[in-house]
Amino acid sequence: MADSYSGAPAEANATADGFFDDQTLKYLGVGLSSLFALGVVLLVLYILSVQVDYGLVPTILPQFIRAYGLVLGIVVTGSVLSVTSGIFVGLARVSKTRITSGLSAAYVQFFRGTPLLFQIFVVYFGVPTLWPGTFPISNWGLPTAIISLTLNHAAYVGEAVRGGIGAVPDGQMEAARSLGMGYVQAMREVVIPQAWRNALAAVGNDQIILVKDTSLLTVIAIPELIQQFRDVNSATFDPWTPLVLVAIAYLSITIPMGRLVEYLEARSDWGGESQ
Amino acid sequence: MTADHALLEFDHVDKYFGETHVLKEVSLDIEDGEVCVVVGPSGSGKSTLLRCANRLEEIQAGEIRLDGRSISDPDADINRLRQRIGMVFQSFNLFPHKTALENITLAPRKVRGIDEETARTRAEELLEDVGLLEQGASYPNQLSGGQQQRVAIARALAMDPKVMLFDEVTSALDPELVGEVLEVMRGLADDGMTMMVVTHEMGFAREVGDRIVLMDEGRVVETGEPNSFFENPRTERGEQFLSKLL
Repeated sequence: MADSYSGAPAEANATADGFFDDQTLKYLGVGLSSLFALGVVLLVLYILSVQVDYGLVPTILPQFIRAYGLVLGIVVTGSVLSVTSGIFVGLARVSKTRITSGLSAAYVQFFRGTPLLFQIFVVYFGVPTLWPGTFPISNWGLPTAIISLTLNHAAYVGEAVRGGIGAVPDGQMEAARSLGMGYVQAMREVVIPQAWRNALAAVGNDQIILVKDTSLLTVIAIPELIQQFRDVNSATFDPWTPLVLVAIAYLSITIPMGRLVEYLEARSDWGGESQ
Repeated sequence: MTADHALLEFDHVDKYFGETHVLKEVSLDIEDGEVCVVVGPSGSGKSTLLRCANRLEEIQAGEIRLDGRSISDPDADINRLRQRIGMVFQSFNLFPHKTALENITLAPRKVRGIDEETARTRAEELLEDVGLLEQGASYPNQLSGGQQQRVAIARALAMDPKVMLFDEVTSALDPELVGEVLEVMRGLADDGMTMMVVTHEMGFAREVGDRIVLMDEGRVVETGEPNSFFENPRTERGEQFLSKLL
């Protein structure tokens, strides 16, 4: 922050109340954040060295690995389905046909406007009772997980895609149409590639949230990561060993995902910053 | 085609934006090979008239015909007709995710189904014509405004249009870049391209135009040869307009 004032004249180099000049403020910021970082590092070291019971790890690792595999499976399926359907939600939203855009808007309002936990309950407890007679699917937990995560995140992806399309200048569609392209062709060749770049950061953000949202599936007894924490903790009363494993598991998915988004953004740079 | 009709005809065209009557019974014929320059104050409807010519704007009454075929008819195959009408915009509107070369080959390949090799060869010829052969692999962001506009002209020419529409194509350019774009347009005119040009560049209008059309408040108020228009405007509105230029 202080750097942004570096071109200002010297007399402007103090804040309005006169307590700190920029230089003091800068040192204060560096000092405080270093102190905070040091505290966090010490706390983590303390937890890892004193609180974590490494003897327990080999015993509980297999169940965490199984849970990790399951979460990965749910995430990959949920991502593919929610991004694909989200693109259609976004496209429907910008449609000139009132019914189409209205339905899309209502969809987004509902699935963005109610908690995911509620949606999980609707699918898990509500849907089977609507079936005339006995519900045919006996193991409804995993389908519930995929369906609710997809429905919920398609709404967010849809909003990101709508915003991405909205940020493409009208002149792009006009230029494409004036060359003789039809609406669908112009969308596919010209508008959507640019909209996708615009939406990428928001979609990536949402998909990282999807990973963390799998933790809610513990309420319908899906054997995901939080479920393993509860299992180990209730048997051993040891919170930190399973908690650390849970943290490692989530971060090992979410951090590479963040990197992937950065990579995809850099790849669609198209010759650098716009003028 | 025999000359019982002009190449581009505006026949009693009326256009409204909501309540605002922006084009009032405009009739104008542009002959094959003619360079028709449309001038007039801001808000006179000249850009709107141009945009109606490839139906980026719908008209409410009258008819617009290209080579005798209606453009404004709701049943017209507009995607087909637009291939015959090149359009160049004030804001270039190059596709930022495509290189200069890809900008030019996109429509020939996707709309015409021309194979990549042929489209590429043609695009390189066009880039050479506008003096940008070296820039084929550059993205629009890497080009100056004048270069972008020249690529935009090449992109429109790649569809082999019968008429080219220019919508204030130098208005968004830095003054020192205007010349290179006008130079390309002058070359096109010399090659016999039919052009409808909306511009504020009066020097260009006078030198390259075959005919000047003055618009004001949605009407064509005067048309004439460039020299007679600039020397001796026939209407009071024409005189007023010219006096403000000095």
